[in-house]
Order: sequence, then structure tokens, then C-alpha cells
Amino acid sequence: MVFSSIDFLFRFLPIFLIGYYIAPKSYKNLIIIIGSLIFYAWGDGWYTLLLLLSVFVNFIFGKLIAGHGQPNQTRKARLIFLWTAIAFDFGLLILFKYTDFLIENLNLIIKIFGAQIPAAHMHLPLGISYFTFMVVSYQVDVYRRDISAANNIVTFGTYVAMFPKLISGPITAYGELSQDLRRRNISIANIEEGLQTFIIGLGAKALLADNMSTLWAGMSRYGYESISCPYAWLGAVGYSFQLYFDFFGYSLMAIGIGTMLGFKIPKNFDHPYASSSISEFWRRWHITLGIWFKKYIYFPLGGSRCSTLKIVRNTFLVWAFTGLWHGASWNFVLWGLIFFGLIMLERFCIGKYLARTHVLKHIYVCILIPLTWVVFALRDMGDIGVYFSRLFPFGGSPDFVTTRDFWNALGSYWKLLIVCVVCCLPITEKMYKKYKDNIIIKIVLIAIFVASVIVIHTSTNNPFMYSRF
Amino acid sequence: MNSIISTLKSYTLLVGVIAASVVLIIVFLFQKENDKTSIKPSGEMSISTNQATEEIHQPATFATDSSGNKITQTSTISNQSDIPLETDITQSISEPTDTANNSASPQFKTVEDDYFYDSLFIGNSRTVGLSLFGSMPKEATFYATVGMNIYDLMTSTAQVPPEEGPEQSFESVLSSKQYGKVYIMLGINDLGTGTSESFAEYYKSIIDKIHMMQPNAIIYIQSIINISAERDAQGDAISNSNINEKNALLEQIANNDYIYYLNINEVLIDSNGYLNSDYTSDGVHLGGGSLSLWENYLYSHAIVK
Repeated sequence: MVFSSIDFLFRFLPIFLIGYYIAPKSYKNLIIIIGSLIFYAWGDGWYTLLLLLSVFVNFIFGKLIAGHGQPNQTRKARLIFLWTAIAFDFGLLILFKYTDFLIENLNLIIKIFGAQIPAAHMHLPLGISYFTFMVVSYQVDVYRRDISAANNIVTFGTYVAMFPKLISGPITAYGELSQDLRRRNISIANIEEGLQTFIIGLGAKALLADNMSTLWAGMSRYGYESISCPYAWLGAVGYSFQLYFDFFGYSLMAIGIGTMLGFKIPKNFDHPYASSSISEFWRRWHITLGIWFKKYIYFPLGGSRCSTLKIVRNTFLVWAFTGLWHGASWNFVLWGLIFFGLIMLERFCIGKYLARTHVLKHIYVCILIPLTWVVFALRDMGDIGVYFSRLFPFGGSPDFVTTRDFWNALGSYWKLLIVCVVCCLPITEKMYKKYKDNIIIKIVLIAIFVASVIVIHTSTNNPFMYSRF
Repeated sequence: MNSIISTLKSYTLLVGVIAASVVLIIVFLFQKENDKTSIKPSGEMSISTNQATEEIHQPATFATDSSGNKITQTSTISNQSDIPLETDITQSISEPTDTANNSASPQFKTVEDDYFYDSLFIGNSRTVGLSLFGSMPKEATFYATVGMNIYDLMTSTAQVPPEEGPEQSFESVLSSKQYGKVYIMLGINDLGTGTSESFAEYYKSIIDKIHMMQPNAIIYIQSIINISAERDAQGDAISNSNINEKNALLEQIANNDYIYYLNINEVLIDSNGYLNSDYTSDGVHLGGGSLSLWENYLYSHAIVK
């Protein structure tokens, strides 16, 4: 069940919220868990048991790692427990997400000997990439004594399974929520504010991302070899907006629901397309994922406080894993490594020159980022090659390619593109924040809500792009 | 009173959204009641299997006999007069279906560009591709949109030429000019709707209407192009077995008098019957570089009278 569906908006959410608000304080976490399990089972049936297993196992390991009840627990024992927990969590993730990818690549090697392993066709449980990262962060933080282990399975279960951020994040550390998990303030003002955030997210998803999605879907219809150079660029830009408003919208909805429930969920986006470098882009895009990699991979490896060679190695590992996290496919690895290359280039070569420019640095980001998304969007390496030959048609174009496709698409999408650009600008949010309590803004938001619901009702469902990962 | 107003004011959004939701739910429920009698098919490629079984059109208002001829009020006609029964049946229909010619294979000829100057191409996204990337003569008229299906065609509007020209209704395209040839390429968006028989019946009724408005036009039924093995493996209503079944029925509609069936698949499929994966990237549509196969087939499969 996705947030932008009639089922969620008019069935699940209202019933859940009523139950949540009328329940006594001490039962509210339990209501969240029950609601989240229903939410999960609605989408993924029996895999709910996997989620429950993860909650139980990690709760017990959290206690063991903390050394509860045994103050003399040695550091070594705690470390063993930590690694066991990590092995369990990543084991599940690898099993469900990467088995087929491993088999596929193993097959390429053993083909020489005439052997083949059949694909396992594993089903990717909803949100497993996200909740795995959350529980691993929990275990590491407990080990580091940054937080104390949850002493109540309901509290811990609420943290892991909380439905607003279960499917696609934000990936929140336990420490950020631990206070809210124990005691939180629920008021009508919170509900009003949460609703406001939620509706903006809903609008971004239903009105911008979903409308934009038809542009990218149309690119492949007659084959990438058929598209003209300007159309290829338009498609890349359209996809960039689609992906951003899809995931940004989802994150806002998660934060909005969190606020309605009394939680402060950290934000995931901060005007990424207005960044002035690729490194900065990644501090503003999917912020919680970037923080996770920094905290649990980059820093433990030595971060930036080591030799140049080690910095390169650490950055390489972070980006190879970031790529793989997004999907079990080589295009994602390539995509991650492109960022590794770009970030290293900025760090050691062009960064300081770029910073001195005013407009150029933004042009640089706005050209490079859509190109990286093309690699991200196309699973097939051959398709990526063809698409780039259309983006940069130095080898000439086939006879049947004309720029008519570009003008036709521009004719249909120019208004939407302008709205998307405006919504990406930091000034828009600034203005919104200034006037957000104004009655006119609220009426506009009600109109956005109504328009979104009508669009959702009349169109076939568009699942969130980021929930696949 | 004042305090109530000020409270309401600070919770405008909450109150507004709840009010709007109630209104929307009522509207949706009301719509649902109405939809039970007339359900529209969904857009292209979005046919899910449950829709395929739930949304069944009931376009056929006539019955058919075993040979596929329409029967309308025949019970009173078949008497002992010396007029054969077959004529009785066909007379009651606006246009005769010459079943005698059905078995003879048509004499196709190869033609030049000018053959297509007075042709009308009707179709879905596949024909849109032919218009956008193909090299058919500019004089040909294209009436096609992405997602076009047989049930919407008659009441539809489309940009002529596709995705470029002004919006025109199908009705006006048919009535504005007499065409010499009409090429139809429909069906891929109808795979999840109804049965193959109801599909073929409705397809035939469209041809009848076109023939009524364009009595001198040769009507070509182009076979529904098969899909690639990869697309077929997705296992939804869009499958080659479904396409083959429908194509077999479409072929029977041809009377080789003014309705001809063109088996374009001949030049597009591999030895297993799948659309050759070299010709397509999404498994459904021909790539710009492969359209010449389709075009050459049309050039070499023309009826000249």
C-alpha cells in the first residue's frame, strides 16, 4: 500500500489515526506496531513475519551488545555479539536482494565449464534495505555506547516498524527518536502541521512526479536509437524531476505522518538540484542515507583523516556500496562509481576553481546530475550506451531521427517543467515558510489535496520509485 | 463564538481536508455506482490481470451464428421463398459479407508512394511510431494515439498527425474526405478486455461503420504485432497466445472483397513466434530502425483494383 493511494488515504490512515488518538498514552506505541504490521501485510503478506523476526532478533542482540545484566561483559564479547547481529541483518538483506545477482554473475564465470545455476527468483521484501540499515545503525550505536539499548520490545518495534518510514525511510538513528518513542507531545497543532507537510508531499508525488513519469516512459517506446539529441536531454531532465519529486514527496509524507503522531523525523532532502557541487549534492539528496554511509562505513575506515590513498579507498568503498544498495545490478555499481570519480575529481582537482564561480558551478551540477540519473534509470548496459550516443551524437544520427520528438514533448511538458523548476528553488520554500500559516496558503493546500486525490483516483497506480531498492 | 472562529482559523487545513475528504468519498462512491453499468478500459500497458477479468465490455448488441455472420431479425425472413437464406441474412445488414471470396487468397501487388496518398492509418502507439519515425508518404493521413483501443475509437479524438497536429475527432477525420485505403492497427490495448470473440465482433462492427462512411475504401486489417519473448514472460494479459488467438479471428473478418488481412508478423517474428528482439526495445513497439520492415510489407502487399 503506497501513501498516494485511495486505500491508504481514505481507509488505512483515518482508521489508524482515530485508533491512535483515542488510545491511552501507554498503548500508543502498541497501536503503531499493530498499524504498521497491517500496513506491511497489506503490501507484502507473509513477509511481515520476516520483519517481526528482525525486530525480535535485533532487540535481543541489542541487549546482549549493551551487556545488560552482566556489567562485567567484556568488550570482546560485545564485539562478537555486534558482528553476529550485523551478519544476521546483512545476511537477510543479501539473501533476499542479491542472491540472483550473485548467481547471474557466478554463471558468467562457470559458463566456461558448462555449468549453470538456476535463478532463485527471490522476492524483495518491502523496505528491507531501509530497515536493515536502521537496525544495523542501532546495534553499532549501542556498541559504541552512543545510546542505551531499548529496554522494551514495543519501543524497539515501534522504532523499526513505524509505518511512515518503514518502506522508504528516512533512515533514522535510534538516538534521534528515542525520546519521542518514550514520551511525545500530541496536539491538534501537531496534526495540523503534519497534515500540511503531508499534503505538500502528496502534491509533489501525485501532481508533479506522476505527471512527469509519462515523459520518461515515452522515451523507450520506440527504442532509444530513435530519439533525437535534444529529446534525450529533455528526457534526462524529466527523469531527474520525476525521481526527485517522487522520493522527496514520499519523504515529506513520511515526515508529515510522523509529525501527526508526535515524532520528529529528520528531513531527507534540502534542495539538491540547487547544489554547487556534486559533493554538496550528496549532502542534500537522500541525506539520511549519506549520513548512514558516513557514520558506519566512511568514518570507521578512517574518513578523511588519513593518507590520500586511503581517502580514495574509503570513498571508493562508500560509493561502490551506495551503488549496490540502490539495486542488485551493474548499472547501479557503475552509477555509484561515477559519483566516486566526480567527488574525487572535485576534491583533488577542480573543486577549488569551481567554488570561485557563481553560475558555472550550478550549470555544472545541472548538466552532470541528469546524466548520472540516466545511468541510474537504465538497467541494461547496452541501453546506456545507446542513450549516451543520443545525448552526444558525435557519431551521427540514423536517418529516421528528427527533432520533432523534442518539440512535441516540449509542447506537452513545458508548463510542468516550469512548475518543477520553481519547486526546486530554495526561494520557493523560503517564501512558503514565511507565509505557511496564511489562510490563502492553506486553501491552496486543500486544493492541492483535492487535485491529488482526483488524479490518484483516476489514474492507475504508480508505486514509489524508491521503494524498489 | 469568537474563540470557536479563531480555533477553526488555526486549524483551517485540518477542517478543510476532512470536509474535502468527505465530499470526495461521496463523489467516488456515487461514481462507483454509475460505473457498474459502464466501465471504461484502462490506459495502454496498464492492464492488470484483475482488471482484465473484471472489466468486461459488452459491446456486442447482436448475435452471431457459427460462421461469424451477423444475424439480425432473421427469424421472419427464412421462409419458403426462392431467395437463399444467406442473402436473407446479409440483406438485413447494411453491407453484404461475401463469404464466397473468403477462401481465395488475395492478389497482392507491389506499389509506389502514390498508392498511399489517399490512405488513412488508424492505430495505437505502434502506428504513432510509424508516423513519428517512419517514412510513409506525407500525404497519408494518420489517426492514432498512444493507448487507443477499439472501444474508444469511434468516439475518440486525436492529434492529426499524431502528437503534432491539431486535435480532431475520429468522426470528422472519416467524414471530411473519401479515402482509397484504410489501414487499421489495433488490438494490443484490448488484450485485457472481454473475450477474443467479443473483441473480433466489435472490431468487425468498427469496420462496418468505416465501410459505411468510406464505401470505396479498401480496408486493411493489419495483424496485431506479436510481442518479444521477454515481454511475453511477464505473464499478464499481454501475451502472444492471446494475440495469436485474436489475430486468427481478425483474419476471418477479411472478405477479400474490400476487407483484407495483412499478416505483418510474417516479417517481424522469430522462429518461435516472438517479435524479434532486435526490432524492439520495450518488447511491444518497433524501434525507429525497424519500421522499414513494416513499411516494405505494406508496399509489397497492396491490392490494386
